[in-house]
Amino acid sequence: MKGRRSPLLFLRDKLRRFVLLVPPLTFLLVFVIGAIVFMVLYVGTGNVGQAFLKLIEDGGFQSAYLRTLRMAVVVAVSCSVMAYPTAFYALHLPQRMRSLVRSLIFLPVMINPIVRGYGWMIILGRKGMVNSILSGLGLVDSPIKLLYTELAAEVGLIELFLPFMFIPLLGAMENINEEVILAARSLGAGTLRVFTDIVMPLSVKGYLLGLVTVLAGGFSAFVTPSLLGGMRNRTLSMLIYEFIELRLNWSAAAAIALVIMTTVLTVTWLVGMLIKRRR
Amino acid sequence: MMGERILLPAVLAVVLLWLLLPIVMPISISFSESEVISFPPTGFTLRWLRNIFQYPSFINGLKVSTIIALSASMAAILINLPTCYALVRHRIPGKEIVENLFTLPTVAPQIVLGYALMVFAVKVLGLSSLMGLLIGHIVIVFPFSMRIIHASLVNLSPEIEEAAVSLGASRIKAFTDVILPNLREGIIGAFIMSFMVSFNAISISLFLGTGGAMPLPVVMFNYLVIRFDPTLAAISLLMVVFTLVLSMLVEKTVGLAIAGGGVR
Repeated sequence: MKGRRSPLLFLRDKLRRFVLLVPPLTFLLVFVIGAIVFMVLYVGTGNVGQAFLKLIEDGGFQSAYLRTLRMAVVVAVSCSVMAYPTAFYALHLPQRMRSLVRSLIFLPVMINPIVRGYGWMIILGRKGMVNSILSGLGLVDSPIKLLYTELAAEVGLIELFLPFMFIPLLGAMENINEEVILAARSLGAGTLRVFTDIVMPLSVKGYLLGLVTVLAGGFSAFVTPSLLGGMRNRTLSMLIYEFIELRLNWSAAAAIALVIMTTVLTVTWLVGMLIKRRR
Repeated sequence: MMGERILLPAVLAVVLLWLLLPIVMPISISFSESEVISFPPTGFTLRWLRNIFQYPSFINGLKVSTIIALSASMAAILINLPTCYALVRHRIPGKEIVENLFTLPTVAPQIVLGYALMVFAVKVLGLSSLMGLLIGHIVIVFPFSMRIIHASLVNLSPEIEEAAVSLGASRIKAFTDVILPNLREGIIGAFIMSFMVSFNAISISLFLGTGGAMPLPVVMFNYLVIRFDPTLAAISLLMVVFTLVLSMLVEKTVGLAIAGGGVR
């Protein structure tokens, strides 16, 4: 049937398939790539380069960059340390319990980050939960400073991103052929050995998928570090906000936006390469 | 072995506590009489709940957020239905590149995107703040909507559509009468998921939402920066209840973990 069709009809058919994709692609190209390119070109008309050069010499920017990077790494490492054993444990739970755990861990993702940041303020504040427990036990005389520290921001960010590592990781572990694990066990491998020699290497792809999200998200998050980290522990996103809303220096803000974008893309690309090599 | 029986459940307990405590906390103090944020809560009052309605920005923010979330979710579905249909059913040259392009919104950080759109859509194209917000929110809910609709189309056998066509239905009629009804669950799931993502999004709206067009999360953020009383706890309570209801609906239709898996 296909052979008898005239070439013109065939072409029309091909085009029609593509036509469906044109509107969404145009939309994304204009409002994502176009907008970002325009931001660089328009803001300060050519001053972004200058703003950038000024920026990298700025001590405030340098320390903000290092802090943001450090926080993203700390958050990613903590998430890995918590997500791996949790997923491994969940894997061995009965089906119903496992879906319950999965839902409970995913649920916070649906709750507004401001609500959760606010929750951490109640936990970590001067009159918060941790301080009232500590003073109730007589462990401290005056409240210790937990809120508005880099640690507080990291604690909140771990909560924000842990589910994004746990879910793909558990998914990858569930895809491991159960017989491989049973075989190892019957050959005398203990739980630890099963974990390090079988489950870990076979779930690395799911882990790396989660890692991208955690690293990129941790690097560009705004709300959690602003609520919990305080003004003294500025991250790059907070610096953008400050430059736009308070200092009215739009070209500097555009330069920082570019720095965030470049770092996130580099990390995504690097981990993406790792994932490809695993195939 | 000790590791199995004690250490692993302990880690799970820590993780659950870590994730769920910050959600429970605002609820616990939303009825507390204390003027400052303090734990444990003292007494019982409905003052903070009433306070929400005395602050017009909150009500206006709720209105803006609802309008934006409804329209963005709807628009994302309307864009995604034909797109996913083309991606799933047709052999498209360079399909992988196209599919990668569609993940763009997840790679661009919201705060960067929000700023870029503020410059481009509002300052350059002269669109209203509300329009700018709408565009930004369509961009961020797009991948969520796409993931769900794509998945439900993949699960739909192409034969039923072919059967309708061979019985004389046009391609468009086959789409509206055969495919759409079968995608109902996916479409509902995509809608609720997109609604939640948009309703909760802040960074994208930070610079776009100005004046009268300020979504609720931005109003909440600005309030929290200057004031510290439990009014926000009361709003949090309402938002958590609202989210729980919507989450349950998503769980019923497509499953939460599938709907959100891997997308930030």
